[in-house]
Amino acid sequence: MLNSTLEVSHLCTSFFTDRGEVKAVDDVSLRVDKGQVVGIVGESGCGKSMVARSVMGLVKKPGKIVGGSIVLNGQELTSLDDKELCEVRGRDVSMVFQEPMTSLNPTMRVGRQVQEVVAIHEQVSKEQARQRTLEILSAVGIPEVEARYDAYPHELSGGLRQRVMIAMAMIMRPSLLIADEPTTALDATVEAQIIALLKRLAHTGTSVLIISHNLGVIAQLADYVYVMYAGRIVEKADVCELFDNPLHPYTHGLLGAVSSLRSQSKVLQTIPGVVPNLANLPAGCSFAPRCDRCMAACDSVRPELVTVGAGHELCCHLTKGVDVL
Amino acid sequence: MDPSTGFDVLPMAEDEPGHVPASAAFDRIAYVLRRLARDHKTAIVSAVVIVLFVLGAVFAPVLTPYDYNDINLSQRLSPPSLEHLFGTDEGGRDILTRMLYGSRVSLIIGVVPTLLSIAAGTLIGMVAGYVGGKVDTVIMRVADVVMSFPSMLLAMVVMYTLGDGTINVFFTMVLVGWAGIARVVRSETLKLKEREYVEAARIMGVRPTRIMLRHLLPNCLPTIIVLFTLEVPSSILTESGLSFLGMGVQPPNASWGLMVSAGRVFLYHAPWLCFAPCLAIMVIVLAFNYLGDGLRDVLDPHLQSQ
Repeated sequence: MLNSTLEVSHLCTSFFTDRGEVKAVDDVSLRVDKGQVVGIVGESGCGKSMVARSVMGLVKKPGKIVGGSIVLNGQELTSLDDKELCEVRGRDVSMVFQEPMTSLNPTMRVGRQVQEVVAIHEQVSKEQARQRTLEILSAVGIPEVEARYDAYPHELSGGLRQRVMIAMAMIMRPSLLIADEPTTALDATVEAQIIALLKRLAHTGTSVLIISHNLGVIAQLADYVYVMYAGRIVEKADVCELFDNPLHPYTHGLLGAVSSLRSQSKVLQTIPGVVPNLANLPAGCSFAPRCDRCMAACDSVRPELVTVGAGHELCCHLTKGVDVL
Repeated sequence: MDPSTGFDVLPMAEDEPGHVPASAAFDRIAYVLRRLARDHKTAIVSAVVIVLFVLGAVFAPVLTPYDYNDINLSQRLSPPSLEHLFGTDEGGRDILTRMLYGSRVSLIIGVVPTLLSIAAGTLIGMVAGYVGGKVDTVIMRVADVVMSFPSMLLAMVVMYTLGDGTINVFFTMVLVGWAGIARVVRSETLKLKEREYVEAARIMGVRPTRIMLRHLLPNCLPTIIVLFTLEVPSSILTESGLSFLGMGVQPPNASWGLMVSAGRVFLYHAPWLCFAPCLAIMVIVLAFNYLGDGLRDVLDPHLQSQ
């Protein structure tokens, strides 16, 4: 009946600091279908990772999910207690981090670390768990698995460690894998291998939510893209549509900042300024202070997401009668 | 498609340079010893010294013809000789014999309460650090109260209330000792729980108890080992202090601390009374420190590859 793996609606995650409530995620809705790869892009501090942490139920104090719902395979996650969340994590949804150098426990052999995930979610014998670990390690393309099983993380290169992380995340065959900047810390050739690996996973039916500030990675992997800015979604579209026909000035800026072999201009564009302080957002559009197409309405009225094309939504005043590029 | 996993079997990763071939089924203890022998010869020597002290304590009756309480007033305060290697004390008792018997007390009191307070302190500190919030506040304020008393004074009060006896010495030393260890382990836990592998473990659904045991404890171990090597000598010294004040080991039983305080009076006429037990304390303290240093280096996997 349902083919959406993850359905996040009107999610609000706030941090309660001395200076007041900081809305790290503000009314974000997104949807990941079965076997789909969905990307979230945005620059540092725009709330991408907080969306992922909210889905995992790992928002740290003083942060808190203050509203909205997160439904994974028909199960509402925001109402689960810690114990129930522990069961969901690793089994139904898991996550891969940016930094493979620090995301493995240096005192545990990598095989045992992967095996631990099986041991906590299922009643299996040691031998079975080991067998499954060896299978998943070779499935993610680790050579000489028997020997690598007993290796410590420091004995492996960055690419291999990231493969171990992915193996760990995938061993329970979760329906959703969240990849938070999975290739940022890796060099270009290893990045290409990891992207290929994630693509294969998606083909086997696992949904992937990939978070990146690297539009190149998003372009290669994602089917559908959400652009986030200052805790909100400012544009969402199919990947081809977004790259061919970007409408939001922020998306324009991001695309303009990507170097291209065919690019005519010699100088890369930049978006002036930085992400505004989330504790003190402008009354209107939060991108207005940096926007080169800012109008009178932008400073006072906050735009809403409106549909502008097939599967293409935009949160910008430019849609209203103004000719968009 | 691989039928067992349901995955397409992927092309293998290029064998990237920079990784050491993994060592399957490595005998960990043999490895630790080999590493110690190669890079930390002082640690090996220290371990040997500690073992010798332990053997001396165990086989004291075999190693010496005298009893620790053989009084021989005709031989009192005689300097070191072939008959009495470290001389005799004011009662004519053989100092070497008393030291061997005294090492039983000193070593047991140095090691057992330290292990107990490390176990207690680690558990308490780790829970405080990992759970945080009110639990952390309450535990740490209690620790602050314990630490705000001079430890010797607190130990004396507890010993005075409980009466003397070895079990009470143990109890007293754990009661005084856990707080400092809990603090260090807590701060280590606070640091480690922000590490991504702890986060990763939580993401994979690992429960808090298991995270503490499997992910935090092994990574705290180098710190705990160093704490242990620092606490053993200080326990020996605390015991000495208590014995000196008449609250620990009771004469005619021997302990190093008791011997030092008894020999103090004769420091100018018969310095060997103090010299031998002081030397023993110094050697064992140094041995524990060097051993701890070596072990920390070898057990820490970050340093292993270097």
